[in-house]
Amino acid sequence: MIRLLEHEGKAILRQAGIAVPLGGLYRSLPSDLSGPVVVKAQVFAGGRGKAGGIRFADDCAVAVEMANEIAIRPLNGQPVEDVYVEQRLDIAHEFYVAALVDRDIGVPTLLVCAEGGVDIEDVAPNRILRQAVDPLIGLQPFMVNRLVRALALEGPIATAFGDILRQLYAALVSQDAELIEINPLLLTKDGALIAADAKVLLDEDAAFRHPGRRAVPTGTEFELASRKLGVIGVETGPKHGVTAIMNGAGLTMATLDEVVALGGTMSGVVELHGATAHGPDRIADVIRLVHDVLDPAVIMLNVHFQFRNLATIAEGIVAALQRVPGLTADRLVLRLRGEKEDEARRILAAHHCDMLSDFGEACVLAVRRAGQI
Amino acid sequence: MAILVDKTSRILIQGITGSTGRSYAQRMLAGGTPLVGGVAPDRGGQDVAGVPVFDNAAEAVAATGANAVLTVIRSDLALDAVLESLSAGITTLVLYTENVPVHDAIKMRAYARAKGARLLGPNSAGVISPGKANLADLNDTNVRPGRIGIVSKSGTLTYEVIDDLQKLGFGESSVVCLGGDPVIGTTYADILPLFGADDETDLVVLIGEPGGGLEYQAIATLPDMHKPVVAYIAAQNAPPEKRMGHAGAIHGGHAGDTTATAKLAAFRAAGCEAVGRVTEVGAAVQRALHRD
Repeated sequence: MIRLLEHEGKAILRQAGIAVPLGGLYRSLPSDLSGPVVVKAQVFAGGRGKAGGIRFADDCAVAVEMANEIAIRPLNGQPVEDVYVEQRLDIAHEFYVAALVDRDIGVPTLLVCAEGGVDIEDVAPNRILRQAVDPLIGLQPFMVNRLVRALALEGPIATAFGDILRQLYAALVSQDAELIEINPLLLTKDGALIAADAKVLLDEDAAFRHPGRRAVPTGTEFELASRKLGVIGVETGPKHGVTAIMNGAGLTMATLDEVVALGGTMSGVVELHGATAHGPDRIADVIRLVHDVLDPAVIMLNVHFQFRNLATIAEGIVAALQRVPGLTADRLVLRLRGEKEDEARRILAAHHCDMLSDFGEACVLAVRRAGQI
Repeated sequence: MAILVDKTSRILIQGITGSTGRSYAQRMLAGGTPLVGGVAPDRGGQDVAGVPVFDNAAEAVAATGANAVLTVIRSDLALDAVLESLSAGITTLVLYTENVPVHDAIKMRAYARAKGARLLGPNSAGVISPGKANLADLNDTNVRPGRIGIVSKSGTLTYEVIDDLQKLGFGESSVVCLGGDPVIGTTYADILPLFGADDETDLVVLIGEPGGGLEYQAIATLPDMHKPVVAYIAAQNAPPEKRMGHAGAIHGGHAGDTTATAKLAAFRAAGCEAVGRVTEVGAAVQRALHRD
């Protein structure tokens, strides 16, 4: 999932034909921008307004001064990526509209609410109207009409609102987006509908249809380094506890649960995500990363293969013992289950490593070795 | 009887000439799974592991009478492959491929439902009815026939549950992996009634996880289930779901609390044995079987 900043999201809205206020990034403001403006921190954190990330200025000169201040201070713990300055509008009403993938019913869905401009989670669910769209027929006029009528809109505004819903749905599909949310969608005093904010989540898996689409990785040092090795690392607690390396998201969750339930502290987990295919060296690199960054009391490998060869894992463990200074066999808990268990056990035994095949026993041993039971 | 696949299934592999397809073909035939052919564009007339390869799904179905397919096709081609199989009349599909775009998943799910077919996936570890047919990322030697049904999103969680059940002597009637993606073709609520009607299934283990509301849809079907359902909800201790601003919470749907702890509590409130550790599943199954 790729999150866009507000100004990137607004570029998508503009491309879809939806009006947005005139504006630009503070270091390259458009020459025709003048008069009262809004200065907005571009951050991935929520609660931007309350944290002082949205301010008002009477002209662009003042706005740029404010932007310089906003740009250097983190907001709610998140770095400010940039500052966006846009024209301030005379507001008659604020709506909420969104197009999203509703995973529970497996179809695109449009959402509208007459109460925009507020935290949508604070709005009573029955005030938010949903319209699921069967992808086999697409968005039909009756669906749009139902939403527009529910907001009691009439005349040219009703027509314009319907157009925005159509444009929003088309953009959700054509952009391979998981969410496009406009909150608020402003009705100005002169009767125009303008998107004052934009939240857009794009599908990374559809990058092959969108040249240049690429996720900017975020996370801790450990998490970013894991990604470089082609594995999924997550820091789950303070350092020096148990760290576990698994194959599969499910097994990763289950191992974390078991260690915590036994009273252990899990510093981090790694999901190998097919890294075994790169051979023993890659496994050794993952163990080295875990060892060097999280300094765990115990490194557990909990691998359960149906078809892949466990000997690759065993060879990787041996390579890590030889290459990683400070790593000793007594800090390893090895649960390897699957094809070639006997071969893996022989390889490990030659380097004084015991191998278990039971999930529960291995978790107990890991927590005990970490001195946590 | 089992569900979805059995000895009478007639199975194809879509993408049979790739390395994944070939190894599945060899394993299926070695394990006695009724594999009748494969599909690979421009490879018609060849054979893989002794079964014929066809250029397209329609020809394969016409020649073999196939009704089930395992699709192992690159993610950017998966939508076309699934629509092709559905158009050819296949009624049970496993899409093993991961990283399929969500809007492609939406389209294949909608078409499968319109055709009255069952699509497992994307990103499904498949389905196995032990001793009968195996379209799963599960080794035949690790699974024994028995009277427990399993339905799960995850593949690797089912491995552990199967192990835990095996220690107590239980085997499985069928194991169904729905797939780990946000939008999937078949849900828990679709599968539970099939197990409910299966006279070879005594009890169902449902393996849930945080995110989305499919587990709540499953709970809504329980009043019609006249056999016990044991829920195991993983990731009780996972860091909270990353919420994408305020939209994130409703982004998932309209199910309310999508955490693992809330789901576990909901199954308990519905009268099920429900556990949060994989090592507790076997004991929970025994308790559920010996109630009353």
